[in-house]
Amino acid sequence: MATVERAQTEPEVGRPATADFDALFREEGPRVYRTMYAFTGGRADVAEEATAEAFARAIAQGAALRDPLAWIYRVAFRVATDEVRRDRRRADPVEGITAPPELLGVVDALRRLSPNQRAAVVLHRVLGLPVEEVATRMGVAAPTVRVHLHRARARLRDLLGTEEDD
Amino acid sequence: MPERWETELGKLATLEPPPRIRARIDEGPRGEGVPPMPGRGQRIAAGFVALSVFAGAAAFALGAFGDGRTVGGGTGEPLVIRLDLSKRDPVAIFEFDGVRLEQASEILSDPPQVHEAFPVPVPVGTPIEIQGGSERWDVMQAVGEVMSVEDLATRFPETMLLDPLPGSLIPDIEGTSALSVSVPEAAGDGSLNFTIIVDIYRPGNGAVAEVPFLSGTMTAPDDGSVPQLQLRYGDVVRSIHPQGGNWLGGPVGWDLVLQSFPAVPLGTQVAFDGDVHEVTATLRYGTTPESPTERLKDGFADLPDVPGEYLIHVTGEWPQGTAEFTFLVSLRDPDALTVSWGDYVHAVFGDQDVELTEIPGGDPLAVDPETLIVRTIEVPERSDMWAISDTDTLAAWLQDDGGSKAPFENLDFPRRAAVFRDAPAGEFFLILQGAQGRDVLAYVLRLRIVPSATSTEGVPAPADELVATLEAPVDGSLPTITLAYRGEEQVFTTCGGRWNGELLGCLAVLLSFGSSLEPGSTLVVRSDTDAVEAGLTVLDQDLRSTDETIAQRHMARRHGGALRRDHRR
Repeated sequence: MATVERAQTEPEVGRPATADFDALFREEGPRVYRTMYAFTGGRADVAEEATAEAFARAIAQGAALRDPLAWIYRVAFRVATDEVRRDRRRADPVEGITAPPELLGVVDALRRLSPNQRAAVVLHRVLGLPVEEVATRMGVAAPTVRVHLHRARARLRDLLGTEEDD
Repeated sequence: MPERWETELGKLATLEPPPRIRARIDEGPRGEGVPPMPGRGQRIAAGFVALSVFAGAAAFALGAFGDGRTVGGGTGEPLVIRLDLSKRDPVAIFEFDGVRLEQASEILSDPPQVHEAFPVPVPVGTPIEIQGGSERWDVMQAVGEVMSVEDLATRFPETMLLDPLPGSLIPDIEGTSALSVSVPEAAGDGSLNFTIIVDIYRPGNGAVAEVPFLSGTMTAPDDGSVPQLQLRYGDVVRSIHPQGGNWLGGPVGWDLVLQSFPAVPLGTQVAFDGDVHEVTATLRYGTTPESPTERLKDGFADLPDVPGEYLIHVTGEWPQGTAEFTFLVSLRDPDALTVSWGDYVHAVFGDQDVELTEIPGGDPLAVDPETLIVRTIEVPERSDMWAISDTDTLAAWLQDDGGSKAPFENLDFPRRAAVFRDAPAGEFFLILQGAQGRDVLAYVLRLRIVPSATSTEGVPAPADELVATLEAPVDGSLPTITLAYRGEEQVFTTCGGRWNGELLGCLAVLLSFGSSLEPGSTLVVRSDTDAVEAGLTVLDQDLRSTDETIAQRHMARRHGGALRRDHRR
């Protein structure tokens, strides 16, 4: 989060150096990518494009952004949503889903959640963001996030089990 | 130790984006960027065209359903869209069926944000009510639209299908749609857009509704007074007053009255919400101070799936101070028999509420219908039965006349609880035995489990039934009660009560039914009244009341019921 705070304190004139966004990408890019990967239920191609497009647009916007990271997440969610929505019309809805062997189980489980449940659980559980911050990233109210989290947890328990030796 | 699903989820942290993503970023944006907002003239023209479309659709719908009928069949509760345009980042709050969803405007989360799905479906015909506004934005200038989700992906906000003026209804387009409200921007020719995704259904077609939850909203009033907690489950709303805390430097007064919320189904989800900074909530498994408690994580949780009385304590924190709320909520399975062992032991099923009889010495072997007055309760076949208790131990079982036992399953639960599922038809004793300190107590109830298809309405009375029919004549005259037993009928006039505002007198003569009844006969009451209360009182040899009531129960409208004595007196 340190990068975000720095970005927020910078004067809102001029365009920050691309190097600032390079630093932001190094620090946050993988997390954005993981979030999009989980949000799309394992669509690595969509996650990659959404992440790249969001950072590219952020660089183009420069200093006009008050909170670059929050902005990047919102753009990435939007791009991913549009991509997935377009892909629903495709004959094979699972085309494009790729996962390393160790992630097959969790990706399959995530695909059985709603997109919002996926987003909430990844932001909260994987990225470790507090509920209020998840709400900000998703552009929804905190109680809504709690509803998504609660239902996602229950579903994941059903799908993946609770015991380590299951 | 993390649960397995948490471990699996944690593996995502090992995922890295492909290295080529840097080159893709350097290529720059590929998207078309933010779609320009239509100019005011364009917006007005678009609104005119779209309203024409809506009028045409409405005319078609009216033609299809007949004159004077509204589309669909909503409950009348409006879907309220409250615009709060005074904030730096304006928001629209969508409210329906106790659910509140706050949505930021798209122009400020540029490009448009992810559209949130409204958690509960909305029926066709639901009125849409837009509230709010500011000096700069007039809510009356807002326009709404309902469109397909597919259109949302590529649209400009040009197709405006709904007018915010009174009369706008959720249109008859079953399925998932986007509901959007557009407000003219104060400066410039753009507009603020607030959009959610809604599932629209036709009532009666089987909504894909998510289970409703108990919502608690705490909002600090603008006048500085202490917040209240507004509880809502479906259409049921209750305000809970604060009973503790500290507000603006002064203590919040204590009120010892226990506040309550009507019964909700087992496992209901509860969520606390509002403008609070922090919420802590605990659940007490029972109403006594020594009952175990559990914290509701994040103020959101599933309530237990075991029936009983529960206390929920909620503390909200604001910059102005804290407010504490305590309320009782009953969890019920409306289709199950629930036997509660607290201050007294009673069984509840539907409108039946029957007290169990204490077995002398706590010895179930002492159950003897000839010497013990055992009351009866009737449940349909395949019902579930719950036994809950505050005792140290609890054992519950069904016992037939031959002494065979079918035990309840004891649950791992903070309170004593046991369940018997899928009850078979037949007649049983239901016996509860529990220890409290060094005392062992036992209670008994006669349980008649009837085949599910059986109904007392319209079925000729069996030979051992005394049928009492209590109905009000359509001409407004006084009701009478007709007793029938084995083909013999006798009509009795009223004896006491109030009719059309006047007190009714009663003859000082005890009227008697001509026939003698067989021991074990059943009294069945049939009535068109809203509620019936019936009792069977024991008389002595001189026909004086002994004040000993064998059974007493309430019955809801048009439901028959039974009272039964099983021994001769």
